[in-house]
Amino acid sequence: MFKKVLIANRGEIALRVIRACKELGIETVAIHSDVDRETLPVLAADERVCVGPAPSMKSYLNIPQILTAAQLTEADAIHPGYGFLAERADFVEICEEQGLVFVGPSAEAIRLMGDKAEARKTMIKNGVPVMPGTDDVADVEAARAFGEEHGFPLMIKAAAGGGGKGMRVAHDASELERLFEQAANEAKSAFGDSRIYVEKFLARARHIEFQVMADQHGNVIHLGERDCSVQRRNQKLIEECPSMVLSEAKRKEGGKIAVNAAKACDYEGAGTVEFLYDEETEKFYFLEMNTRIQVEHPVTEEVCGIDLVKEQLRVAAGEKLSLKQKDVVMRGHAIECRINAEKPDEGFRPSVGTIDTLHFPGGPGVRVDSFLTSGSKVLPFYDSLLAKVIAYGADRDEALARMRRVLDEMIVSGISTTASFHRALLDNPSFLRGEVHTTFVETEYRGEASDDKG
Amino acid sequence: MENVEQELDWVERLAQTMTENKLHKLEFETENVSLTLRSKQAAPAPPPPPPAASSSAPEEDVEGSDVILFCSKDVGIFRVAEDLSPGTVITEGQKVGTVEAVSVEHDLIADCSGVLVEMVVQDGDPVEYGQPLLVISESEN
Repeated sequence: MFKKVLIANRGEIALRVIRACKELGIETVAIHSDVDRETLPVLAADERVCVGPAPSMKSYLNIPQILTAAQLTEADAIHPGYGFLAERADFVEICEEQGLVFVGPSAEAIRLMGDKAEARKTMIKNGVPVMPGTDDVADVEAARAFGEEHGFPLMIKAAAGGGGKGMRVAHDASELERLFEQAANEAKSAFGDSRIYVEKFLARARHIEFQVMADQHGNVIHLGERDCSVQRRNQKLIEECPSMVLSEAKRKEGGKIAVNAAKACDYEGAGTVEFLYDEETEKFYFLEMNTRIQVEHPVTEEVCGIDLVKEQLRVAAGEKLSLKQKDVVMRGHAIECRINAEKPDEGFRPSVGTIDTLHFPGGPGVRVDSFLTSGSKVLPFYDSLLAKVIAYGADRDEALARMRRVLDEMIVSGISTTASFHRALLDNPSFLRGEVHTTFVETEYRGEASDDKG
Repeated sequence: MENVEQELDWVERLAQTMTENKLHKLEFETENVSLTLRSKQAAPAPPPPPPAASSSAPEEDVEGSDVILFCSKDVGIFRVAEDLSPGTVITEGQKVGTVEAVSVEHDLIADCSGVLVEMVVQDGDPVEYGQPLLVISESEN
């Protein structure tokens, strides 16, 4: 096992990794920007190194400074968390050159899954179902020909895509022509890569993803699914484990597909295979694979009784997976609400300021992953995620009731948060019946949640 | 940024963040925007909490305000220039040492002229971003 791990991240996920390291007896090094000096992960780590000023480009994405920090502190591994450097193949290669273990998959796996068009081709080759679409990147004529043959609407996607950038839905050929160029331009400016492909668009699909875990000895397992259909502009708001709509047989089927997807890229570590799931036809369609630990990993941890971050560290150190597929038992139901520093009443604009009073509820079945303290400053430089509130129950109803009381008890004053929006969602009849799909929030809360002004 | 009003609102928030964190200088950079804000007080002086409107107040001659802290901009091993010791006269633009990082050496170039009062760290010490390295007195030159 490692002696010392450097955490190349901030906020709640940095603290989450530090907690796992502490429980495994691993020393920790926090890196931080100069405005994060007083934050909880920096204080909780055994050592800390300030690597740059507030802007991420100069601190949390500053590879030379981070590597020097690792060398000076004699860390033997780097955990990237999510975001920042977690899916940068070049960073993985540089770590290897410096003799540092990157806690995550290989540079090749990251590169393959990062190129959505390449990933799609690899999945097709390995028998993983994908949404019908153009076989490869397409020009506007090929896209239109596909639409005319298979029907609209179509989803226009950027090959280098991610985070909803370069994505458009076209309902007919003329809209396709207009939006194709828009998407290509947006992809060009966001990723420096204007390649586009198109797929059929399912308006009422669910977002269901499978957690996979792989070691260096060829063992790959899945840990069931998460239902993340409650989203706003491709940003997940509420995540649940398990999904209400999967039968045990469908879970097995999806899990098997996810394991195949991981094997197709010689995956190692924790990963997530995302699908669109069509409830009517009960079909999974591969969306993408995220080659890192995900924000919503705790719901899986609660239901499967496994610590995914510890498992990540163990397999990165060369150990075998601590459990086999048959040992994975899903028990109960877990729900996560992402509490963001945003103003739900003002088109989810970021909210910044100082937190005066902070109270995170406890009690049975409650978990809060956060990095806040009273007096914490919420700065405009970083992601708006403040806390992940996870409620666990014997079944969905108990988890929901628990989440309602947790949000009622929670106090975060001094800034605006999305807690009120979550609380309203928890009484929404469609949500309670589980009748949700990826465009649910936009259609249900049109006007409040759908658009920024300006 | 969607319009001027929002931009101003945003810059105001940055300025507020700066005051609250007692920052001397704040650089912000995205694809389209590059912004540097500097507060008027010198870094080592205790930051009086001026309300936003009092920025026109004359700079007070706070004791110690002529003392400059020369800080590291990099993570690495500090190497002091050979001929440097307390009392040495430093000229702006002079190389006062290096910070050795992985596969690169960053030169430390004095950004003011003065007299070296104190070396805060020793040759061979590991240093981080923003760490004070040298105390330079500007008034004695």
